[in-house]
Amino acid sequence: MTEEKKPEIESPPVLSKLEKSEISNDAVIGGARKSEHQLMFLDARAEGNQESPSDLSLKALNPEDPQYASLIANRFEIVDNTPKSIKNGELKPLYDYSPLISKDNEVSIDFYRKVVEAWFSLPEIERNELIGAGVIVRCKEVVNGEKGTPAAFFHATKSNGPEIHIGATGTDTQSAVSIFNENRDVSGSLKHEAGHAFFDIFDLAHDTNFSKLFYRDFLKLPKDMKNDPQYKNQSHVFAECYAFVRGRQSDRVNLVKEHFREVRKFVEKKFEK
Amino acid sequence: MKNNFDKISFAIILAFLSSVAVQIVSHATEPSPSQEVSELMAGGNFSYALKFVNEKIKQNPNNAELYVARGAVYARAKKNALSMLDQNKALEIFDTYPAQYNSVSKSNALHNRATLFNRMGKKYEAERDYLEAIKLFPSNSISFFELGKMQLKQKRYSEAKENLAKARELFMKQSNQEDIKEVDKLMPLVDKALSK
Repeated sequence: MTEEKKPEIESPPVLSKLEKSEISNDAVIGGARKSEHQLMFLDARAEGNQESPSDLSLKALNPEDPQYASLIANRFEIVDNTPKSIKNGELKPLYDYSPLISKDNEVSIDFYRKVVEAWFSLPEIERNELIGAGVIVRCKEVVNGEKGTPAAFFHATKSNGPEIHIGATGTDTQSAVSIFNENRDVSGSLKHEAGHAFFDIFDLAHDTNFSKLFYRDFLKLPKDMKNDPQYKNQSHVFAECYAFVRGRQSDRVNLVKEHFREVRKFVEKKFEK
Repeated sequence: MKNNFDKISFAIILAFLSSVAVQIVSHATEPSPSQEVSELMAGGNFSYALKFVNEKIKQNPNNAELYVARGAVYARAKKNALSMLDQNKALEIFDTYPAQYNSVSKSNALHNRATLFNRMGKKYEAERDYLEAIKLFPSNSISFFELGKMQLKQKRYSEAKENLAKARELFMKQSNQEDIKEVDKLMPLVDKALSK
């Protein structure tokens, strides 16, 4: 729900982290050991998700081609040396099912599943756009988002790519008094943070056309909304409109889409709703 | 005739089910009431936050999470006695209604009560509640932090160092830059005291 500066925190490479955390969750398909996470991706993709042009180009390469390994390593988090697996009697390449979603050890598999489902609820072309921009999604037990929200977006820095953090719990810890907020809208959280990522991808902070539309709406806002810092934040408003376009339903999203009509139209056009 | 009646019944059932589905979808995506409270307080709107949570408690008087949230509003407004009543009420509900039990939320109530005890100078009770809060939710970074700060004031430097270090580790995991800075301000004091 929030947009933040990237913390300068050293984190281990995502791949090795996942490999470690998945040891106990392994299952076997078609003779190859597969983690529960990979099984989920298999299920999600089996439910009608189409292959993207980049998937096809990847497939066209010989697995022994060095470019093949580097493409996979750059695009996907879970890399398996076994090129194919059997699912419902059909051969399917594994690399289709591994977007850049990592999971901290403390995160429950149920929560991780919700994030994966939310990811796959985005249209494939948009997922690929996010992957192409180097966005990774981290599932966390706790996220200290702005105003206690359980999600945050971190801009790319010199050392790290853009990151979406989705927490099972958000914490608000002002004045030594805490409020822990359960994440009850995982899908909405991911959509909102993906909206922040698209705001960066399209470089809308420097787009005068977008700014004009934004201020046209902003000037018509009621006084209380004008004074609220979140409605002065173009990226936040864009992210709320994107989340709405991708199906998020809440009073807050409805408020934004009603009052930021020009921005909403811009987003709808951009994503061809 | 019977065929028409069946069609109408089917249409009525379908319309009913659709309306229920729409309601479920629209309610399922609202943020938790405690998050609403957090957001209202962040905007400095304590009286709105209180009004909002009072309304929710009226509708749902046995929801422990709501008492934790209202207790937090009172605590931030320095109304310690009222806050204590709410945290105790929440803890009572967690113990009375198993369906309400949630270790994270109970840890939250214990943390807030510990902070209130600490403000009142009841260090023993505060420490007991911080430790219980940590036991229930080991990622409770803020409890490690407040416990460490309290121990620092009590000149229990080794324990303070241990708890502050743990808090820092968790803050890093939770990308909580603000509180990492707070720990970093305290650590040199602890190290200096320990080196004497």
